[in-house]
Amino acid sequence: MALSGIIFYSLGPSPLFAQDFRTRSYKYPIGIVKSVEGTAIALSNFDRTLQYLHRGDQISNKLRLATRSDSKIVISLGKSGESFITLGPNTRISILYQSNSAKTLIRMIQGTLRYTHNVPGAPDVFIAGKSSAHYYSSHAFDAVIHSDKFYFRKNSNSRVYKYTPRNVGEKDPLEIGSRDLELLTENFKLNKPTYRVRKKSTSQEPKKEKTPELAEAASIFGESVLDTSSSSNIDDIFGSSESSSDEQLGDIFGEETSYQTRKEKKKVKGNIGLQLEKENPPLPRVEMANEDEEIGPFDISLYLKSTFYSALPRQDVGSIDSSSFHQDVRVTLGNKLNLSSSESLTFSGWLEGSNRKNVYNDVGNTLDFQSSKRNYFNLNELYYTQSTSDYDIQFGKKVVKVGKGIIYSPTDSISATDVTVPTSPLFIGNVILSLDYYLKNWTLSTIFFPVIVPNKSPAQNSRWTTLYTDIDYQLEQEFPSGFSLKSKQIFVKLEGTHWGTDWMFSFFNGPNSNPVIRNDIEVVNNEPQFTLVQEYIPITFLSMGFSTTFKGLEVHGEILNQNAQDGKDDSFTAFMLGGRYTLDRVPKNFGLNSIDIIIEHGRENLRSSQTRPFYALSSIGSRLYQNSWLGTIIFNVNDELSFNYDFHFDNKNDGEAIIYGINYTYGSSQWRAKMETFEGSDDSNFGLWRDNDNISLEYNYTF
Amino acid sequence: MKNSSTSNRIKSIRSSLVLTSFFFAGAFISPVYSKCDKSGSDIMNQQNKKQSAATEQEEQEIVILDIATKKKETRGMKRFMRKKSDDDKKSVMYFDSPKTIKGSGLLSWKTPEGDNQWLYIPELKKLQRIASGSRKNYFMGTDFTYADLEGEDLKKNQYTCSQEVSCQKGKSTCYVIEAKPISDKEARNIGYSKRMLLVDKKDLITLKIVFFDLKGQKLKTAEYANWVEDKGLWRPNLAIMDRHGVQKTYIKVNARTLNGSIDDMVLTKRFLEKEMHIK
Repeated sequence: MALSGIIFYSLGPSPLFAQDFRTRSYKYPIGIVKSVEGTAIALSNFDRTLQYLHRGDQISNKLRLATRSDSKIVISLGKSGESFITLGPNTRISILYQSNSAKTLIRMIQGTLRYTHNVPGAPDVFIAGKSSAHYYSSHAFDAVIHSDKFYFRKNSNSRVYKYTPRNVGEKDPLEIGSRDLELLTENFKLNKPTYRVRKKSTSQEPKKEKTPELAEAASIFGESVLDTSSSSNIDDIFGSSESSSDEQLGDIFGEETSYQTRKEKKKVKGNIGLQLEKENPPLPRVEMANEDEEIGPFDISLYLKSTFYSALPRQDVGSIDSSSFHQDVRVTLGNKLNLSSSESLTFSGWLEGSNRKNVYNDVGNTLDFQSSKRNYFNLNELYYTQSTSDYDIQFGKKVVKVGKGIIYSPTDSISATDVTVPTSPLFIGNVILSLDYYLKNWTLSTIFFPVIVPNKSPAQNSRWTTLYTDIDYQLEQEFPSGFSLKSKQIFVKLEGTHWGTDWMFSFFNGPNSNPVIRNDIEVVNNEPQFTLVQEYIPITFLSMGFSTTFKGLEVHGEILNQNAQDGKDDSFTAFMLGGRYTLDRVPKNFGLNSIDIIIEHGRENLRSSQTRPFYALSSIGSRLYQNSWLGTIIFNVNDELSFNYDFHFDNKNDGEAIIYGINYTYGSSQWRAKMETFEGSDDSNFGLWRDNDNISLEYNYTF
Repeated sequence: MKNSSTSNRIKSIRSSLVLTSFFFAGAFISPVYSKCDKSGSDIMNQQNKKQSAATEQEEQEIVILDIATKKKETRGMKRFMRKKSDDDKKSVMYFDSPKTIKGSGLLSWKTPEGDNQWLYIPELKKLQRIASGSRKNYFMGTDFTYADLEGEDLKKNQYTCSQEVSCQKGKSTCYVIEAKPISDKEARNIGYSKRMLLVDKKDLITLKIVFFDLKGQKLKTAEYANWVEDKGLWRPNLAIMDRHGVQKTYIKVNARTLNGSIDDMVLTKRFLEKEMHIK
């Protein structure tokens, strides 16, 4: 740790810091790392890069190598791996390669080194102390720097060679006798660092025969498995534990974490799980040992969005917000409070603001859940949950998602949604009282909606509105009153898993969350006065959905049959069939990690249209998927970067909406840049949004 | 058996030499190779019997290290598993930190009829069924695939023991076992042509796995360490998955209970859908 600290400090932060040095091309590759135990580091004089070494890494000239305490590294030199260098703990060396004399010159700075050369002829690695002018070698030798003194000892009967760099060009190195060496260490005994000399000369060690098993292991794990002259135990087959020194684990987990390949009898902390309860007991929370984390008051995130439109909105009708730039800011808050082992209170909401015109309610109406406008503070969820082993009771305001569709779900029409900006929908939560009863793999859910939370449409003067008209009208809301099946919403769902498929059957009765428009005309002072009323018509629907898988393909679908009362709205049958598939082999040929594909087809069969007099518009404007292909294709470059292509082809109105996006995640920050384009017939939604092509930049930060 | 006892004796002698003669302990040990005394499938079946727990609960700390940038990402995860038989197994795992992925969870049911997996993303408020063909995909940015997290599937692999060797540090003997998917289809499903397992002979625990991609190239290495014994079962408190040169995932187990009681509800869709896992 201390050594690495010195190295990091001396280098300082640099854009080239820690580049993968294996990808760099060096002029003279001289060897390969055969094994690493603990941590070994290479610093290149070429380009000032630093790299943790692993088995198989290439060693080149002009490198400095360093090992940490309790670490060692074995390097095979030469093309056939005939020579080996082993660096002991706390060792630092500098490597220079003399290309014209094919000599590797090592200058020792600190620590211990062992060298073996298994072929006839003069060795090709020579070693010197920190300031020695001469380099020495033998077929097997050990070298130590201790108390700033360099010690050299041959470990075989071979001769000792001396090499002087200025003698470059000389054919043969100067042969010297041991008498000529400086600081011979025949009688030198070191206590620290421990330095035990291997008794058997490696040059005399017999070559091992290749058994079939060894040959196969060699083909799998590389020739190192056959190397019996150096670290040829099983480390060579399965690699060393280079990634797991205590110091490195300390770096990883930010504490002292030890690495033990050996097994130790050690009891882990006691029960961390649930106690099994009988007969409708209160449900215990999942408790884990060491549960000492602090729970903050809120989960908080910040969202910013800047939108630039390519054109001004239509100017021929009404007073449309003429801005070509919109800025949205939203701070989202959330938390869950466990009141007891079986009770909890969940909260989420957001504070927001933007320069969009006529979008927001007055502050005084913040808790008006039925308003058609947005609130500066939106209470998204605030609900209480009580659970037993057989059922859950929930009440409050809660986001309800029930369908099987990923992008489009006909049944999710009951889920209150804010489509003030239709391409950025927000789920605003319904007011509910629900009971879920569990029986094996099936759940029977009943949700009662005491207050209708309508979907929020684009504001009347927004460039996203579809209610363009020359008439100067007032738009009012009219909710059913009283307590009856016509005025309150109720939803019943049976959901479960059977035959490897998830099934969902549901029934709904009550006012539709998507209103129709009624045209009230009054004559005042002999002048007609128009009032458009958003009326929430009682409907019933039955729906069925499924989700299953075929190999790598997930398939899901829904069918919904909806009937409106007294011809005030359309009666129709809606279908959805979709799938999801992840490509992860072919994309790798194009530098991608994977491609996620989600495609859905929405279709609607209109059985009877709105026929009631004075009713100007049915809920058809909110039913966007009457004959549509929609989907998203996500191109994942890696975990941080992805591109997406979202599409919605509206075959009924010959229209299309396309979104191209780039998404980047770094830590707690997420960026998204996207471009949206719209095209379609004049009366269709996409046609009306033709002038709303835009480029936007979104930023989200989670605190 | 004769081979085994001879190899043990040789190993013992060599170990003594190592202790008395050489520095860099372990580096100069000559290897001990011998043929396996059992078949690969017998070893893995015995491992399954000896080391299997009916239930497991773990609290894990996961660190994902980008090799190039040295960027670290830390995640907290909890995992619950119940195994009634090899064909009847349920597990749930979910992240409880950082906040960007808090609450994301994966529920897996393995039944005789087939595998079922669901993914819960809190932002979507839906539990979505995902295809088992995605088993080769990496789980939430880690270097472990969904298949890796399922553990050994004895019915979907052929195991061949090639040799017995001295384990790392030379302290014990290990089997070298090749695990090959039973079919090309299964290989494509999990994304590996084969895996090489280093299995401790005495306790039948897997110390290391080398994974090979469908082209036969070495893909990544899993290493298991800091072993502890609990109720007669050995478990590693540290797992390191090294996608060489790309990324490493470290998993440290901070708490574990083996063969404890797990409420049935924890392993149901309800647990994630109702966000009972989120604190």
